Amino acid sequence: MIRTEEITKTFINDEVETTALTRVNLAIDEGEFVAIMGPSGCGKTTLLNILGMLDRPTKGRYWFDGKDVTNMSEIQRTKYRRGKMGFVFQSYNLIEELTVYHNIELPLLYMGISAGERKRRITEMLDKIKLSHKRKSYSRQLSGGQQQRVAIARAVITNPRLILADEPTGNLDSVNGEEIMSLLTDLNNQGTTIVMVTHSPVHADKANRIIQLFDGYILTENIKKALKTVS
Amino acid sequence: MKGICIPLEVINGEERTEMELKSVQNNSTQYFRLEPLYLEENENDGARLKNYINSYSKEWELLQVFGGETGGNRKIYLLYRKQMKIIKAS
Repeated sequence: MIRTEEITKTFINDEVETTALTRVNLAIDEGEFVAIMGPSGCGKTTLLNILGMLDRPTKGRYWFDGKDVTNMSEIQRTKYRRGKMGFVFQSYNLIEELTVYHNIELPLLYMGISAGERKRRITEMLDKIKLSHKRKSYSRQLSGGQQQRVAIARAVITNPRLILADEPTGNLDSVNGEEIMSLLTDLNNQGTTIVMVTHSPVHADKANRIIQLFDGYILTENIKKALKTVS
Repeated sequence: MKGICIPLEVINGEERTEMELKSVQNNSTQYFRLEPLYLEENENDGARLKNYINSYSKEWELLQVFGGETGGNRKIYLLYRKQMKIIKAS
């Protein structure tokens, strides 16, 4: 599904060049759950943004579904990722002026889905995330965990094949964090590919593969999860 | 509760620190190890760090890397967890 070749990303601010990613080679198959870990500033979010086609690499190439998407224009990228990718952010990024229902509806409107189909999908989704009773609430009336559940619902309402999650549990307590991880794990079990940036080794353990980034390069890739119990 | 944070006093940060975590109820033990490593400014390609990790005892799984800002001379810490085998009680 995803393949990168020698991806490098540099940023230039005030004539100072900073390298965020260095020659990153990565392949992610459909159905994988990949966790990206590493210290602050190591390039995790930059890599996620490039994989999500929100940003472009300075050097190297990126293939999504076998198609070279490296040099697509912004308009082309926006069209291409619509319906294929869903995004979940640490700070939820819900629209405060819209209700829960209308936040979830937004991607469906962009895709031109009919009113009847939108209603059917949203009703089903609200039931799934156990927030049917909050359909008319605004984000400020929700707890952090509830807001993140709405954000996930908005990300998956178009049935994307790939979810990119940037520290989705970063602002949540352990109970709500577990709920979000459970939602993501369920999605992955249903076949959705997930790439998640996290600082939590406990949450990374839910993934099939853990990539450790450091100073912009891939330090290690643990494909096999550790066996956890001893007696 | 799925995770805990233990404030550890590492005496001078130069030495390996090992932690043994026993769960009384489950009669299980987990072992963690914190390895300090000093990186120099010119080590930007990560070759030495990768080599260090690749040649580390396979009994231990790298769990997390703690490091300062990118670049410059700095000390980083590698948190390992001992790979455990599941032993079923007879």
